[in-house]
Amino acid sequence: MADLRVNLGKIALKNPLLTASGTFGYGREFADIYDLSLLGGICVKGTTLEPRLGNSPPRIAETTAGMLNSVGLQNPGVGKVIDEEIPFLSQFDTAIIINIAGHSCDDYQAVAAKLDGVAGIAALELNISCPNVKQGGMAFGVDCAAAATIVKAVRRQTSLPLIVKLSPNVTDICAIAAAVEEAGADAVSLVNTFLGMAIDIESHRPLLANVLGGLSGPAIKPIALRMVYQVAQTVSIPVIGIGGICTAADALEFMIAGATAFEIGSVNFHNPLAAPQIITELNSWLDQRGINSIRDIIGSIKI
Amino acid sequence: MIIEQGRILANHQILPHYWCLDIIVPQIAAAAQPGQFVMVTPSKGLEIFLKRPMSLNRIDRQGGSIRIIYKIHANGTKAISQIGEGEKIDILGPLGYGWQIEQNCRRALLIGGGSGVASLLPLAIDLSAENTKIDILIGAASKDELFCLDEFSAFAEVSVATDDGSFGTCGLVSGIFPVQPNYDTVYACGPRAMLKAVQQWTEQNNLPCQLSLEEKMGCGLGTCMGCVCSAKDADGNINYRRVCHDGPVFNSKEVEL
Ligand SMILES: Cc1cc2nc3c(=O)[nH]c(=O)nc-3n(C[C@H](O)[C@H](O)[C@H](O)COP(=O)(O)OP(=O)(O)OC[C@H]3O[C@@H](n4cnc5c(N)ncnc54)[C@H](O)[C@@H]3O)c2cc1C
Ligand SMILES: Cc1cc2nc3c(=O)[nH]c(=O)nc-3n(C[C@H](O)[C@H](O)[C@H](O)COP(=O)(O)O)c2cc1C
Repeated sequence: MADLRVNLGKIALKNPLLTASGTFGYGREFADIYDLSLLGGICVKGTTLEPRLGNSPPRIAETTAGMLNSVGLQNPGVGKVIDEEIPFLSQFDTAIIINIAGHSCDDYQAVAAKLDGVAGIAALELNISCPNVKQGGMAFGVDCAAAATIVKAVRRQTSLPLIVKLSPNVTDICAIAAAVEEAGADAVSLVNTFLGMAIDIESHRPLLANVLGGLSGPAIKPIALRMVYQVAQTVSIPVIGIGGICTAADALEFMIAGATAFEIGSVNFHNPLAAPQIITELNSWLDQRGINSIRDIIGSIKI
Repeated sequence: MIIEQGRILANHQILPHYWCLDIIVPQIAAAAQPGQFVMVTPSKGLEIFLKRPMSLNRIDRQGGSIRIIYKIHANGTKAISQIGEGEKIDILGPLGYGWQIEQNCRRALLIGGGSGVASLLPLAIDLSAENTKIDILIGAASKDELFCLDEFSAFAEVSVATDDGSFGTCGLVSGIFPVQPNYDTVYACGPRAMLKAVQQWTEQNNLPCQLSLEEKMGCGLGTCMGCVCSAKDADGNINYRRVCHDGPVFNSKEVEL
């Protein structure tokens, strides 16, 4: 058995696999399928100050090797998450990461302040990249100055490690990554979904009620990998790779490109057993090659 | 919820656009209830990325199998029709909240449209075991879209309406709603427009009614918040409820169509 432990700055993970926000709820459904303590960590659904209704349906459209979603951050609000979901998740031996989102800088600060001091949280993941709500954060994630402002503001409200989740819908993701590092982020995670759309050619209508949605799944993997590679070259804080990861081989590509850990998202829908299967595959891949620690893989790209 | 590798017992065409799929999934069959559904994996690759929700048309607990009747729509259902006998595919199920059979339901009306007819059969079987008198109304585009008529006739009084008049009454199924309905419960599954007509009609006639809804699904497990429908809570506030988890069967009074 290879050593799968990695450190995301101050956060020690038993393995580099995290489940991505919005694709794993608060873990309840998956807890029926396998032991959540197998996971390196869980990023919960984007949490806002007040409960959010989300966008009107249809919210899902399948596309080749991927999917579009426009859920729009439907969530019960931070109060309920603290009262009901974090205590549930705390029974598992895994890192609980709370993904937070808001309309305004004040919103983000208020959510972070409420979560500060709550037992059982390993880190906050600041979602400045949700493409599905107006000012759902993406406005902050596509501008260096705005991204830095919000990171600094949230930084003041919390002693928890702060992971900043980046939007790929930008011209230069490295510039944003550098700005949030400078502003005090402990790590960056990337990517959130790519803004996309799909149209029904018979009715001439978009397949999503929201018209636009976020593309995820294997279809985005090469672009996500490129971004992770570039960001890992730019920043010195740990990078979490996200985007279309479906197998251990996909995950290894991200780690070789420089990611310390990775998140799996839509694949949880394609195959609900993906997480435990990827962890097992990672182990045997390393064992077969006589590699003792997965840490030797991180950033091992040869150019 | 169970993830089971199902073995295909049979997968064959029954009508120009409809196929019938029998799968051996003993654990899922043992747990399944009428009105619930399963997620079917259309192919092993990643190109067709999501699973397809399909209602249970037969639950054979002894034989350990389930039956699905599905209409060929586009890529996913085409791929499902290409799965051969003896092949194995991943099935997730049984999922969702199914039909509710109230005690002392003496008379029930079942209304089905298109592929929605499929999920009414296990309900009819369970109702008839409770000695409920069953009437069933079936709507379809044409006689080429009618299935399970013989099976239903064993338990129920069947009336049919087809859009083109090729079988039964010509027109929409709403055209054959009974004039003086006397039922303890109405159950309906079919296209949105049909469900709307049923919702209005049962409200006017003050009949308890359950509707089975369809919506585009991501996970089928209740996690992704993709397949929501608009619903009213007890205080009349509007919220979004998950078709896969809180439904697919809803009390007609709760949902906004
Ligand atoms: C609870 C439930 C039970 C169902 N039971 C049956 C059944 O017993 N028999 C049957 O023929 N059909 C049933 N359907 C509809 C069936 O799931 C769709 O026709 C099928 O997914 C279409 O797939 P496709 O790839 O051929 O079409 P595409 O349009 O290419 O599918 C693209 C995406 O949209 C989704 N989608 C398309 N149509 C529907 C729909 N009507 N409802 C939900 N998702 C849809 C697909 O799952 C897929 O993710 C059911 C749907 C639900 C929600
Ligand atoms: C249905 C759905 C809901 C999502 N909700 C959130 C969210 O609330 N917050 C967030 O930061 N990312 C959200 N995401 C983005 C994912 O966490 C992830 O970044 C993205 O899907 C790319 O990874 P994947 O290709 O592995 O799915 C969501 C994705 C999907 C598919």
